[in-house]
Amino acid sequence: MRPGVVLAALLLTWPAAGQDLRLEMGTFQPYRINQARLVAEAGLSGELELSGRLWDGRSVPLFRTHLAAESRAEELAFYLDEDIRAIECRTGDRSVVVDLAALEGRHGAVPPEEAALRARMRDLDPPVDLAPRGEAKDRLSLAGTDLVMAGFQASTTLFGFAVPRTSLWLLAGFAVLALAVSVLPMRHRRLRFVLMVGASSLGTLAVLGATTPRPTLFSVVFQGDGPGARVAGSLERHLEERSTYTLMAWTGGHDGGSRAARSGQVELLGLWAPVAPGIPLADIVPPGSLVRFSSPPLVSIREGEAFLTSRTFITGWVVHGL
Amino acid sequence: MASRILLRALHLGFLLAAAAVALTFPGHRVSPGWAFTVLAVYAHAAARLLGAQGPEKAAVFLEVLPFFGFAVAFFGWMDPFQGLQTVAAGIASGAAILAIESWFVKGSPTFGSSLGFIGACALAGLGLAMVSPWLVLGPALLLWLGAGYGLARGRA
Repeated sequence: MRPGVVLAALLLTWPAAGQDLRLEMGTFQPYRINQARLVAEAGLSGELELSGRLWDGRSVPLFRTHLAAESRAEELAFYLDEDIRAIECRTGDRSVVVDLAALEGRHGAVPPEEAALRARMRDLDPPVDLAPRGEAKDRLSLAGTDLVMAGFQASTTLFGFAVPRTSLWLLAGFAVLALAVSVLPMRHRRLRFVLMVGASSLGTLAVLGATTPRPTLFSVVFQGDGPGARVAGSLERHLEERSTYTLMAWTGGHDGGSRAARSGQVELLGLWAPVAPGIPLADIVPPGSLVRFSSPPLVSIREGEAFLTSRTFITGWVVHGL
Repeated sequence: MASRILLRALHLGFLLAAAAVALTFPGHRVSPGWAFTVLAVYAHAAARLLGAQGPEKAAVFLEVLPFFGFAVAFFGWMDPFQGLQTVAAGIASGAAILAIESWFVKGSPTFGSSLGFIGACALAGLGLAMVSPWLVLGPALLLWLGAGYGLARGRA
């Protein structure tokens, strides 16, 4: 980390003075889903949001929940990486800031094993999070490609959505209806206008709903085990409709698309989940895995289960079972 | 009558063909502001061809609205709620521009009034492209109400 910034960060207080909020946890670890406990003697209720402050000064939401009943403590789960300098937890007009750089400074040097893991994740650059173009492809052949390059290749050639042809049918239906309304006699001018307002409003709502793609998790499982590994072979697509999202997974083909028990394997992700509930966190980042996203996603809790959402399309790498 | 229906069918068919062509460019980004400007100017031209003025011109804009919704969702990469906000801001902008045109332009539109109309559409499109739809929605609604009041007073 940049020494000047670390020095400046050390000057920040943690937790913020005069607040009754307290974040309890062990050490904050980058490239993982971190767990923490927010405690308030005066009780917690209403909206609770944890956001991350990046080194460039921007703030990104990391965790959000609504506390229906008042409680003294709340469990939080959130993604961290080395671009996040500090985290801030806010509920109502109370907040607590944790400066991660200062905290790490207090804990002394990073153990060599952890430093090696972080260096490995640093090298796993997620592909640029451009929106997928074109329809998803069924297969891709790789011939001894470097893992990061294979990720770029896979994200640009494989990731895509089905073309929303339903929208075109809806628009065609609306056009016929609009034509029918326009041939009504002029003496029914008012009726014509009311009918057009109704048809146009309903048509617009239907088209908006039909055109927006369903939340989708793209997954490509590679057999290599690090950034320097070279990957080869053919990847085949497996499609699965789940309760809140569509899973599009490309795997070696021999395992029927199963994403379970991938200890040590590296997985490229693409995430399109702009609205709640999103995609279950456990389906994306299994416990014990390392993860690096192109932009931090938002974790939210729904009926006791953690879900991930992101306003934009994002990509990421997951190193399983470390 | 037959020529009116034919022109209407051509106008809607052209929009449908454009949407079909757009489907061959999935994943490309087009700002909702651009989509608004292009479609509003198209609706204005179509209304002139159809000889539609006042409420009839508003009906032509309503015919274009679902195609604007399609462009916002398909090229804007927005979630449905964001898309709805943008479409609402587009509706308010279009309504405000139409009301202001009706207020100021008496009789048939002229070259100058058309130019003004296109300029206003471009300005609203720029707003939709640059700032949050909420920031466009508020002023557009105010302008709409103001122009509507002016129109009502003018008629009284």
